[in-house]
Amino acid sequence: MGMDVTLSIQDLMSARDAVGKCLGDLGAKYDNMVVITADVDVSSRIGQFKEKYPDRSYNTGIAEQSLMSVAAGMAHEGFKPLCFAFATFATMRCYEQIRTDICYSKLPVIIIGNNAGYSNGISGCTHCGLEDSALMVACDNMTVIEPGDPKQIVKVLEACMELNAPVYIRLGREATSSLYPDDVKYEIGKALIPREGDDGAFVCTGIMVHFAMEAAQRIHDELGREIRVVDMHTIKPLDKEAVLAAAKTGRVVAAQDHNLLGGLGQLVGSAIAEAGMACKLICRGCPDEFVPIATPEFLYARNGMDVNGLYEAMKSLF
Amino acid sequence: MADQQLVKKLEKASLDTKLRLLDLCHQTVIHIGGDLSVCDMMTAIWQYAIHYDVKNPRWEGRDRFVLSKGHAAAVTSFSQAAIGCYQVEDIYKEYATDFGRFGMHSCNLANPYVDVSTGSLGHGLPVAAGMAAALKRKKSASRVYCVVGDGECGEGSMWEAALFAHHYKLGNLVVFADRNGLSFDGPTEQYMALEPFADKWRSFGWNVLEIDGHDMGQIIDTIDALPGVDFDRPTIVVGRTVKGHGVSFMENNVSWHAGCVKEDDWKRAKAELTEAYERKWGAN
Ligand SMILES: Cc1ncc(C[n+]2csc(CCOP(=O)(O)OP(=O)(O)O)c2C)c(N)n1
Repeated sequence: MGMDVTLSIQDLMSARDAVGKCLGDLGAKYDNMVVITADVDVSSRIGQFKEKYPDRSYNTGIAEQSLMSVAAGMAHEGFKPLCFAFATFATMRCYEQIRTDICYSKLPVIIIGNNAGYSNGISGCTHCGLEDSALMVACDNMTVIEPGDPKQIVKVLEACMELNAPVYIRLGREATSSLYPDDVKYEIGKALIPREGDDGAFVCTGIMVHFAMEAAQRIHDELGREIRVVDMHTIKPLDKEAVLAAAKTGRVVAAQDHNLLGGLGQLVGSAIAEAGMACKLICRGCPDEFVPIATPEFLYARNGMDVNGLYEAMKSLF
Repeated sequence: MADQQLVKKLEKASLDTKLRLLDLCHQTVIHIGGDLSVCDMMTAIWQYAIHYDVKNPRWEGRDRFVLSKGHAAAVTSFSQAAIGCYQVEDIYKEYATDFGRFGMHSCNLANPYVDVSTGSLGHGLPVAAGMAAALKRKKSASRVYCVVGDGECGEGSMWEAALFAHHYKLGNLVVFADRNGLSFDGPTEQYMALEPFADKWRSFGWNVLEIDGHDMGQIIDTIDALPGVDFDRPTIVVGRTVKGHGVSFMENNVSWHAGCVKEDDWKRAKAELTEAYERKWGAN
């Protein structure tokens, strides 16, 4: 069932804008949906929902622990809370509230965290969500999603509302182009393949999918090799089938704008190893190093996570 | 009553910092609203109250400073530049650059004049309380100055620290609260009411001083009258302030929580601030 929101590639907007646009429609469909933020209404663009449903909009003030426990309380009473905060504050300040109040009871709470990865590098370490994916993956009952396409977020939210379980959606640096046609089928836990190829595979999330698409094109142009791109938009549960299919190419480069430790690469690597498959694997992500203040471009290049870095990584496997 | 020459000197110093903030805000995005609201108190802290050795930022005898509302990094950096920690130019050059010393939030990995990295709200005060407890153990004569936002007081950790500081009788802890009445989304009273704000701190056992946070005379008098470090209660100075203070189109305007000011507005803002100073003290 399609949403009333179509986002053309021309008027593609940032993921958070897309969230804002579709929340109003979700509110109409689910009269038990409530939106709760912690003093970041402006940044979350929940405006449309708030205008339509002021009585279903809550703001806890700058209090993320309260945010998550309040959401749990409302979910216990039959509501579907959608919570919004920056990735760091949405997952770390209130980790125990998420784990014990929300996940333990498998409550239908959707948490959206923006500024994931190095996307807000110039705001410094406090604003870079480098651990959020690992933390959320470690919580039983939690589904973890990082859309690779800004347009996808609408379908992601629809699917999450139907899941009736805790979900964490991380939003990092926003792509300025779209990967899929409007009618692409989206399913939680089922990877998308925006580019086919059997000589190797990039397995990525978020902005890294876009970088991988460019890197794959360059490899095609310069080396004549065909590299698959796997958009692993669901980090947990991991689409192991898609991972093992990628491993069959013999060369995998896994990339996520997140710490390497606990990130997508490690999940992909252990899936391959557990299946007893042999495959060359390079993981790209944020090294075990705190970063003071730097631009995302600089950090992506420095850590081999930009187009060039992914290109070089894949090339080195041949 | 504060000496009028001192008041004039610090108001001029504060004006200089405000003009520099606007220059930086013309160049890039800064948290200008909360920089301007706390600027007068920040100026008095760095250019009047604090015991500090700019040549040795690790000097054991220094007063400590913790910027709990870490997004007010720009006003802190310019206040530190005014006493010689850096060149003012360094801030324009390095702000929000790769491995620069200055950014949206204070960072102690990049900048030796920052004791504690902040930016995530609700951390600075508890860390400051820990430092105050340690200094008390060391029988140090140093104070810990800590600047907090009012919206920031939504974090439970602030009130946990309030309990701790009272329980351990941390008379060496002096908090300046920037009670500008606005957080990120809008007026605190509309989003998450904090009033009676000062009474909340009183009920936690703190020594609460309420002032006009833009009246330099009152700020100086308050600093002059601060209790000694062996006082049996922590102190909070609740400064009633205006977010975006002194710039008509920024005052109480939540869209100036952070932003970058364009050419015309930049000139107008600087002219307004300068005129207000000159109306009071004359041009020179
Ligand atoms: C833990 C945490 N949650 C959210 C934010 C995002 N944020 C940055 S500034 C701000 C508003 C701060 O309001 P206040 O403390 O009143 O500061 P001021 O208005 O003086 O700038 C928010 C919500 C943050 N930095 N840290």
